[in-house]
Amino acid sequence: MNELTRKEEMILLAIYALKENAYLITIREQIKKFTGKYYSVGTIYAPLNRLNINGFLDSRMEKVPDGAGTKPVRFYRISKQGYLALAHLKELNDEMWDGFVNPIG
Amino acid sequence: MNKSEKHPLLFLKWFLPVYDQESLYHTYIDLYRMESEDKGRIYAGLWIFLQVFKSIPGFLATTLYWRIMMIQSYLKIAFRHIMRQKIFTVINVSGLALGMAVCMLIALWIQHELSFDRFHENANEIYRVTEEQYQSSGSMYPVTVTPWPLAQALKDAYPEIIETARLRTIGNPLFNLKDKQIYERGLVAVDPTFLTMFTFPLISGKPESALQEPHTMVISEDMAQKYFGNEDPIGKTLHTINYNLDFTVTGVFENVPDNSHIQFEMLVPFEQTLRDMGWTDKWHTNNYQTYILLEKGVSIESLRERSYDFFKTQFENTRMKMRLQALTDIHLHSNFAIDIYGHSEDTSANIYIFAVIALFVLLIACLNFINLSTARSENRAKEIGLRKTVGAGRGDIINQFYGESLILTYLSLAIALLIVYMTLPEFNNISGKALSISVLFQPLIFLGIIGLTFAVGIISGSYPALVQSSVKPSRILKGFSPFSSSRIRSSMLRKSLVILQFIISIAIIAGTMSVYQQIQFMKNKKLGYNKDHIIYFLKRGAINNQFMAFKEELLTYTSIQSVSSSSAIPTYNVNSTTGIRWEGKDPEDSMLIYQFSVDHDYISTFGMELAEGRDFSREHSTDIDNGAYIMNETAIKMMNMENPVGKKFYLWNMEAPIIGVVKDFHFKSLHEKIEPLVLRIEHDWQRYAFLKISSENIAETLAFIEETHKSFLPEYPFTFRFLDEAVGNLYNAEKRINTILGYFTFISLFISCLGLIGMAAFTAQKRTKEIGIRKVLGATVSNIFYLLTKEFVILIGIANLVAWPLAYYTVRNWLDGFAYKMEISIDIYLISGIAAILIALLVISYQAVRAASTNPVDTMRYE
Repeated sequence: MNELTRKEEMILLAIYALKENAYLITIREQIKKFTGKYYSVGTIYAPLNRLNINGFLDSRMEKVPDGAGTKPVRFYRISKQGYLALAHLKELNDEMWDGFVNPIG
Repeated sequence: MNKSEKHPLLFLKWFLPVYDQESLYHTYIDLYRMESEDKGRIYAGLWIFLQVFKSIPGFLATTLYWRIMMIQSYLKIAFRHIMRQKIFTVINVSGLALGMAVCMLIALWIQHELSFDRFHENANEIYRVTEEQYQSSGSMYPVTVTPWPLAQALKDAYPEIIETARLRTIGNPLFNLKDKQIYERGLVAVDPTFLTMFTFPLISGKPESALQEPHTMVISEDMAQKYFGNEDPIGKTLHTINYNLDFTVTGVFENVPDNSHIQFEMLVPFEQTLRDMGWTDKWHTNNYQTYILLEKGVSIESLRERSYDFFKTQFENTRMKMRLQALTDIHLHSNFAIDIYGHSEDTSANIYIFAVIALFVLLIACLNFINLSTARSENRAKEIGLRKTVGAGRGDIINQFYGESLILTYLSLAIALLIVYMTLPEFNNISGKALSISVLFQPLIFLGIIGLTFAVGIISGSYPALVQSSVKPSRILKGFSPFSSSRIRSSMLRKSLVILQFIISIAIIAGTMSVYQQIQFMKNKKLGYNKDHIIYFLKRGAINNQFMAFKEELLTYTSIQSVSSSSAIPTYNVNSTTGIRWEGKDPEDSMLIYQFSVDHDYISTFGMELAEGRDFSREHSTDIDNGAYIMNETAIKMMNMENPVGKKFYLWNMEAPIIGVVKDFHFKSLHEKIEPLVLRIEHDWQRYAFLKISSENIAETLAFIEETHKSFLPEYPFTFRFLDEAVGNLYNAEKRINTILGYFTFISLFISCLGLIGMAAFTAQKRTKEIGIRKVLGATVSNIFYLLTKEFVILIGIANLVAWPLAYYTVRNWLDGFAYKMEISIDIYLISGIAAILIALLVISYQAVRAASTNPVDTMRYE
């Protein structure tokens, strides 16, 4: 199954929420908002990079002002392929959760 | 921005994947800043530390992911390349695989040869005592047999010898097995210390006590299984019919491994056996093998020096010297006239020869591989240029080429292992060993093999990887071909490689043919007697006592032409002595002479010829009981005797006249010169009966003989051997070598041809344009054919010139090991040279014809 993993799903949706301002630190914050926990940079970077390599994300390096000079920061955006994958994921989810009533309430 | 903030975190760069290193690094810096504003520097520092620690798995995963993705793409490309050039790949891989397989087989063989006797715990401290006997003529006679009391005497004399063990083989015992009678082999008498000194593990029974009592015996697993099945053999009795002795089994030992120089199935203690057999326990006869165990850490050299003249302490005037041979040297470095199983020869040279051959074959295969890979990759200049234009770095190209090369070499390794696995049974057949492939998989060795394969892969991939990756894309795409100058150099290299391969192949062909010729020569050489259709067997019991009657009975059967008896078989005779005198002998002279005891019909049964005088005859009643001697020509020569007939000869002080001189015949192998020999008739010494039978109806004749034998001696089964078989067995080693060389010839030729095919195809391909042009200008197919093949024929001609002297020199050396050898003839070399050329032509012509007959239109199309 070449489905998106849970982490990848979360990262994609975090990037969606962040619109044009999605990079490592902001994504990390967003995930904190979702789950209530801070995850380490490495834990987020791995699936993020994978998404990038496989084309679900477009990324660009930008020089952002940093005190007296600039530092390079990689900004991420969901690509067309990414949106297609999300649509597929939503559909799959709906299929899977269809008619689910939790007996515990 | 605080510059000093950067330093503590600089080490981070080490962890971070290259891809996003800078931005990740700054990410950490920002986080650090945020935390330190919040909660202070120290907390932030610790916090960052924790963060990094938690991130490590993620980063490692990323780097790994990268690598795997890259490898996947390289593999895809490599695979595509291989598929595109299927023929080359198949040739390349099979050549290398074959070379590796041969090398591994030989390595297994060598390892086995070197492993002899090393499994004993005390292997490094055990030595065998050997003697150097000197004849007054000065020649030296090395033997491994020693006197009975020597072991104890040595132990008393030298404190560093902490234990000794003696050994003596006993002739085949006869046992009852169910309702049959069977002769067994491998019955050996030993001191009880044998079991503790050497490591032959006992499955049941204790090594310290198993052979303490008389008439006890320890037997091998196989023997136990054979005679007692699944029952416990301990305490049971084995009865030897022919020695009329009973032995109680007190232990069972694991079957003796084949890499032990002593092979046995049954061990019995010396004490009682000595008396039973009537063996001597005095100093004057050498019949026992003596082994000593040295204290650990003591130098053997010092003991060797001191014991060299040990025999002087027993025999004042002896010149005999004592030598101590290391146990681990016995298998390969024994060169004795008398050894445990006959005479022995130093076979250590074989190891070197085979190692050299193995390395050569491997070398050829590797060179081939490198050659072809390099040639193949020259075609890919365009591809490299293209890849560089779309962004591949030089590093990528390098990795790609190395990757491809390594894939091919490891593929070859896998195939080679498969080949070894499948051919091992046959190899074991030829070599007479029981090798197993699992030896190759021992950790150290396997690692070594993997490493070597890696090396080959790297070396063969180096040319394209390093040289070609530096190509400038712009030049390639514009149509310039790179390295025109280095091309010439590399083609020179390639040509010399092909020459080298063929040199080796031709030399091996010539060598094989020479060995074959020598074997034929030995088979057919006149031995001075007729060995065909003669059977022999031991005379036992009634057969011996009533031999005259037995003989008469046999001779009534027309197919039995002649019956004789003698003390020895003319393949190997141990009975020699210096105790002789003759009329006119100079008292200072001494000569070692061999002696057989025979009967009246010996010379006629074997078809020998007399040079002078007469044969033994019943008409001269004094001929028997050492009343007459017949000498051979060599003996007369060495005694410097003129007109020998009638002169007196003294064997061990028994005087008798020489009645005749027999023409020299070979009573030992053709490895050795004919020695002086004296024949006499002494009934008690005649152990073997020889029957000459007609070549027709052999089966019926044998049946008659067996019947007759049974009627005289029903208790013993009738066993016999054919004399020509026994003689043939003397040359088993050579036959073996011949078979092996035969295979090598095939293999090395095959590999060389593979190399040639590859080269030819490649050159033909490269020159398609040139051929096209030539054809347009009017060249015919045969012109082109000639052009293409000429080069190769010259190469092989050169190979021949070098191979001939090489082969000649080696064969000459080998032949020197034979006292009787054939003449080296030129035609062998001519034949091998021509054969090589023909084969090569065959190989090349296919390519040449194909190239020559292509339509110029096709080749010129891409201008």
